[in-house]
Parts: sequence; structure tokens; C-alpha cells
Amino acid sequence: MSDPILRLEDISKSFGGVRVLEKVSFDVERGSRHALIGPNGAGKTTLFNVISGIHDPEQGKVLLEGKDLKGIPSRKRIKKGLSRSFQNIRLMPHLSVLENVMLGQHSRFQFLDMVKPLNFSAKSTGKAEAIETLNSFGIDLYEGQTVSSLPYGIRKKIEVVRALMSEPQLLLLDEPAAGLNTAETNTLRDLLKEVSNRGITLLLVDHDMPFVNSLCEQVSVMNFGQLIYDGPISDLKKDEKVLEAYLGMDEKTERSNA
Amino acid sequence: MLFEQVLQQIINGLMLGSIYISVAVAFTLAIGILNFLNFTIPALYMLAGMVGWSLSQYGVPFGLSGPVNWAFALFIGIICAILASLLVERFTYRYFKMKHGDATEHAIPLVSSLGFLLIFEYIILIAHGSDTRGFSTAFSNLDWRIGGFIISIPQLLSLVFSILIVAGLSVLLKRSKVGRALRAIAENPDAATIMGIDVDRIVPIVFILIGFLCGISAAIFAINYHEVSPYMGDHVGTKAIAAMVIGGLGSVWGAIAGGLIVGLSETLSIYFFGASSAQITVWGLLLLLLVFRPTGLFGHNAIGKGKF
Amino acid sequence: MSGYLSGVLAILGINIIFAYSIYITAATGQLNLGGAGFQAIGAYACALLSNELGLPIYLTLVFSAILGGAISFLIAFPVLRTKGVYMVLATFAIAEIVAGIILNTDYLGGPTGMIVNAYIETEVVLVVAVIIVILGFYIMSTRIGLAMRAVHDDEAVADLMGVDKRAIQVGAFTIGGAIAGLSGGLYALYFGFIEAQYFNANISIFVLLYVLIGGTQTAWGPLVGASFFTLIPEALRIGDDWRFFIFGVIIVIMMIFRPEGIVTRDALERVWRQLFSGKRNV
Repeated sequence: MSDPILRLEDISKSFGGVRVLEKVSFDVERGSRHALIGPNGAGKTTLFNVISGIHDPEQGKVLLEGKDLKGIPSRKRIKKGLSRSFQNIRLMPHLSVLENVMLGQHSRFQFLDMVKPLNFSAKSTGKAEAIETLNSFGIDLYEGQTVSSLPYGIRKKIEVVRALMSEPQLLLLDEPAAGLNTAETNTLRDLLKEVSNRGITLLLVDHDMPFVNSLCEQVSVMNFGQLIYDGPISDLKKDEKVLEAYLGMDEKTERSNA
Repeated sequence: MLFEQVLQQIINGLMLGSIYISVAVAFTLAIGILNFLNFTIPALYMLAGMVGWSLSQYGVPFGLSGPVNWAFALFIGIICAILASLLVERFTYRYFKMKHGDATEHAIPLVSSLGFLLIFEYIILIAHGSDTRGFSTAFSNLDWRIGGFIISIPQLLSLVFSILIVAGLSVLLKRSKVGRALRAIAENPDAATIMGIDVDRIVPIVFILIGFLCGISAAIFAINYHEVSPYMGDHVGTKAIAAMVIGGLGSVWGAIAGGLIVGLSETLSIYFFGASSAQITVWGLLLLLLVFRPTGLFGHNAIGKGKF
Repeated sequence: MSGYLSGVLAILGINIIFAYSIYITAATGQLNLGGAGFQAIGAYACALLSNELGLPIYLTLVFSAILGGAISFLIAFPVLRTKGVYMVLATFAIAEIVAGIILNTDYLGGPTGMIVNAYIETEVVLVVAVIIVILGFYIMSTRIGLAMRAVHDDEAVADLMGVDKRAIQVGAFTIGGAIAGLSGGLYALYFGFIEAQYFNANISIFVLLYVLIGGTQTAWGPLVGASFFTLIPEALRIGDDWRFFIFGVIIVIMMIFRPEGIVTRDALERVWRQLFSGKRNV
């Protein structure tokens, strides 16, 4: 437990005077499957945005592999091994499935490879690899189509694959299971387990507790911008603060929590 | 002597600016409320002037009537501008709202409005050719001389009239129920719909106002400068866009200030640096503002930044 | 080749090149409504270099492109600070300022225009047009093209994927300016006479419309758009006024039925599928 891939130290952030994150600190262990849960508005997505560099924290540090990310623009963080998906699917609507996946590789290529035509030098431009990856995930059927017409579950999957293409050390997933049916959720879980087995650390936000329970070992719980629990998922239900925070919530989440 | 000449130029500039005010307000309403850069506005302006001229010259087509009284002709011209504006609403804004849920996406209305600009402009060119036409009204030469300065009374009345109309509009937007609905739509069209505002019935009001403002402005131009031409819209349109940006997109009072500033800088620039320098001055000023203070003098930050 | 045909082809070539200049920026999601300004810069540069220094035609064309590109590069930084409608207006302002400066500079002939001594044949225009079309397709077939389209679709996500959106946008704007300058140089050399009034707002509007109607999703768009709007009126042999009236009607109708332009990716995909009736990697 001494070599965290990601360490958050006292992260604070406010928008327009409202404190969204209040001194949040926790570690994500290398190779772990770590969940970040909490009621809506707890600051989970904001925390993701701080980690990926969309927002700068007012206080505190984000350490990736022991190195402070301060001053590193969001664009360059993917090269440091950080990749993410989004709460609302944000695939490029006018790019085909294959092109979306290839966009995920962007950070791995030098300028000289970027000016080679993709169709004629599929190997050195990464196109061949992208096709292979699509095949291995069983979504090659769609590769030439633009994404907007595809089923929701497929699009979610493509987004995860796109995030993987940068060969990240740490993958941030913002509500990957939201909106998926049971079968799709199960497929996603298997996919993420496979990803994890490749040695990639997962940090994910989700509301679907059965999904989180069956995937993650570690969990951090946030409420009103503060971290109220950080530890193994098995001890979660014993923690009084967590129970208290979740008691005030709506029935549905409560039930899935139980 | 120089001082007095400059003062005369300032007066002329303010008068010229009064023409730009209404058109600039039309632009700013479309942007501010609908997030729509409406390029048909210059054509609506021109349409009102040319229809007015045509009626006062030939009367209703096919010899159905003799030449019409100039005031009535201009009135019909304004009505035409309003109808044309509603046509634009029907085929650009409303249609895309229905089809895509968001009429501001992909710059579709902007491109469509460029199409309507061509349609209106070339209908007039086909019908009447490209000549500048004289427009005679009852006010041929009513100048008011005080202390060596010449102030044209129609121009002065026009300036006051423009400001009154715009001021009235501004009050309307603030106080009335329609005004509140319009501002709600400007804030967030979806939320406005949820709050029970009938967007499909309110939006045409914006287009009616746009047509009305363009028509009024064209009428004022025709009365003051005694001429109309198929290209009159281009000149006023570009200046009004500049005025809108200077005042800040979406700000009615900003458009007034912007109109006067553009009018002033145009006449002063012509006075000091020659006829064709106005283009550089006005657009240079505008470019600097766009880059360094994109909100203009009175604008809001959020307007017009959405992506295409 | 008859005189009429060669004239039409030359105009077609110039329009296609001009359309690609605007397309390159539009492909990154930015509308440039100041095309005429950059074209004017190239035209006057070409005319001056040819008249005053007597440079050979090919060098003058290269310099038109370089000057167009250099000026675009310099103004790209302030202009790209602006977004959306502001960007449209800023580029529009630039074209007006360029025209204003030419009108006020006696050295450039002011409002009376300028006669260009050198002269090129239609063939030269067509060869350059082919080169530019190939260049356009080439750029869009690379990872750079992919990144440009990604910036067009979603700047924020492209940024998180490691795409340097600033470099992409400035680069596209610069290349666009260079190509516009080149088209201006060709115009000056082919017609032998240039005047500031020609490079007006309407020209900027038309070329932007060629591109948007053609479609910005693929490199086919500007080729199809410019060809469509240059050749159809010629084929119908209608007067100029009617031509632009019909142009306007087509735009309104197009926006209703095919707002993404004539050529879209999905349409291309369907065509390829039918032609080869099989799966195809885009």
C-alpha cells in the first residue's frame, strides 16, 4: 500500500463561492479497481475534472505516479498515462467508430506519423492496431458507421475502448454503467475486468451499487464535497457516516445501496 | 473655424448614426434572444425602401392603381419587411427548431439567412435593376440653422424617433409579459418551454420586431437622404453589425450607443482622412473590440460563443 | 478548347481552390467569412511582384501563397481568441479592412484598380486546382485531418485526447490563408486586372456557402459545392441576377433537406457499400 498511482492531497475547489470540493485526499493503488461513489452533487465529476486538468484546484495537489500534475495542461496529461470517459457519452458525432477509436491513439504518435495517409500506411499510423482492437472487443461490425445511430450500450463500450487506446496507466470512468440494462452492464463488467487484468488501474464513478460491488475492491465515498469514507468496499456498510449520508437519499438509490 | 466644422461633422455623424440604431437593434435582438446572426436584416431594410419607392413611383403592379402617396408607400414597405421577416422565421428558425430541437446548431439558420439575403436582394435587382433611385417626399429641404450649424429637421426628428422606438422596445422587454417570455427564451429555450412559455408563438414576435425596425429605419433613410437603391442594405447592414458588436451583442442600449459611435467615427474619419477611410476606421475599431473586449460596451459574456 | 469553355474552366478552377481555402478552416469548426480579404492579398501581391519586379509567374504565385499564409498566421492568434459568431464577424472585419486599405493606397491603384502585365492560360489554373484538391484530400486522409475533424466536433474532448487544438486551428487558418492567397494570384494573372471592389463581402459569402453546401465533413465538399454552383448556372445559361436568386433558393432548400451539405460521411459510406457491396474501412 505504499506506491499509489494517483494521490490526491487536500483538493479544494469552488464555483461562484460554492465549495464543491473540500480538502479531498485519497490514494488510488496501482492496479486496483477503485470506485468513487456518493449522492448527486457530491463533487465526483468535479474531482474527475480536476484530475484530468479541466479545472485547476484552488488548493491541494494531484500526484500521478508521485509527480505533481500542477501546470500540466489537460492536453498533456494523457501522455502521462491518464485517460478518461465521460458521464454523457462524448464520442465525436461525425467520426466513424474506427476514427473515434483512432482518435484515442492520438497522443502516442509523432508529427511525422500524423502526416502519413491512414489508408496507405495503416501500420505506422496505428490504423491496423485500432482495427485489431475493435475486433478483439467484438465491435468491428460497426467500424465504418458514424456513432450517432448506434445503440447506447455499444457507444458506451466504444468510449471505454477509445480511452484505452492511449495505453493509459490510470483510467477514469465517469458513470460507465449509467443507462445500461443488466446484460449490457454485465458485458461492461467483464470488459473492465479484462482491462484491469492488463494492469490498468481503474477509478470509476457510478451509482449502480451492485455493479460497483462486483467490480471494485476499494471505494471512496463523497458527500457535499467531502470525503467521508475511504477503504475496502466490504467495510462500507459498517460505516456510520456513509449510512447517514445515504439515508437522506431517494428510495431508488437507497435500495440499490442496501 | 475648424472647431465649428468638426462640430458640424459630429452633428452629421449622430444623424447618420440614427439610421444605424434601429438596424443594429434588429441584429442585437436576433442574436440576444435567438442566438441567431440574421443576415437577412440588410435585405429587409432594402426591401422596405425599394418597395416604398416602387409604390410611390408606379403604384400597385399591373396598373391597378396610380402612384401611391409616399408616406403610405413607405408604410406598405414596412409591412412588406415584416412579412418577409416572418417568411424567414418560418423557413429558417421554426423549421430547424422542429427538426433538430436546437435551431442554433451547425450555423444552419445563419447559412439559411444568407440564402434569403440573396433571394430578396436579387428579386429587387431583377425587378428594378441596380440603379439608385431618387425618392421625393414632402420634406425636401427643411434645415434648421442655429449659430452657423445646419441641422436637418427630419434628421433630428428621426434621431429622436429612433431612440424613442428603441427605448419603448427596451421598456417592453423589461416590463411586459411578452418581454419576460422573450428574456426567458434568451436565457434558456428549453427551460422556457418547460415553464409554459409557448416558444412557437413568442418567437415570431421577435421577427416582427426585426422587420418593423428595418422598415422604420429604411423609411427614415429614404425621407432624409431622398434616395433608395438595391444596395442600400449592404452599406447599412455592415455598419449596423459593427454597431451591434461595439455596443455588445444582445444589448439594446449598447446598440444605440454603438450606432451613434459608428455614425460619428464614419463622418469624422471621412472628414479627416477622406471618403474611403471610414471602412478601415469602423472595421478596425470593431476588430480591436472583438479581440480585446468581445463583450462590447454593454454586452453579456455568454451570447454568441456557442460553437457552430 | 473554345474561349467560352476555357473561361468557365478557369473560373471553376479558381473557385475550387478558393473553396478549399475556406474548407480547411471550416473542417476545424471555424467559419471564415473573410475569404475575399485573403484572396485580395494574394492577388495584389502577385500583381505587384509581377509588374514591379518582373518575377516569373510561378514565383509570383508562390509568393502570393506565402504572403497569404504569413498574414493569416499573424492574425490567427487574435482572431482565434474569438469564438462562434464573434469569429465570423472578426474574419468579416478583416476582409473589410483589407479592402479599405487597398482602396486608400494609391500605390495599389486605389479604387481604379490595377492592370497585371503577366498572363496565364487556363491550363495553369487547372493544374494548380488539381494540386490543391489532391492536397485537400491528402490532409484529410491523415491523422492531422482526423484531429481537425475531432476539434470540429468537440474541442474539449479532442483536447483531453491530446490534440493540440490551438496548433490545429492556427495551422488550418494559415494553410487556408495561403490557399486563398494562391487563388487570388491566379485570379490576378488570369484576368489581368484587379480592383478592390471585386473582393467584396459577397465573394466571401459565396465561397463560404460553396463549402457549407458542399459539406464540411469530407474533402469532397468544396469540390462538389464549388463545381455545382459554378457549372449549374453556366449549364442553364441564365443571367447573373437570376443565377444568384436561384443560388439563394437552393441554399434555403438545401438547409431544410440536407443541412450538413451535399456530401456527408454517411452518404459516402452508403455509396461505397453499394459500389463494392461489402465492408469497407473508412
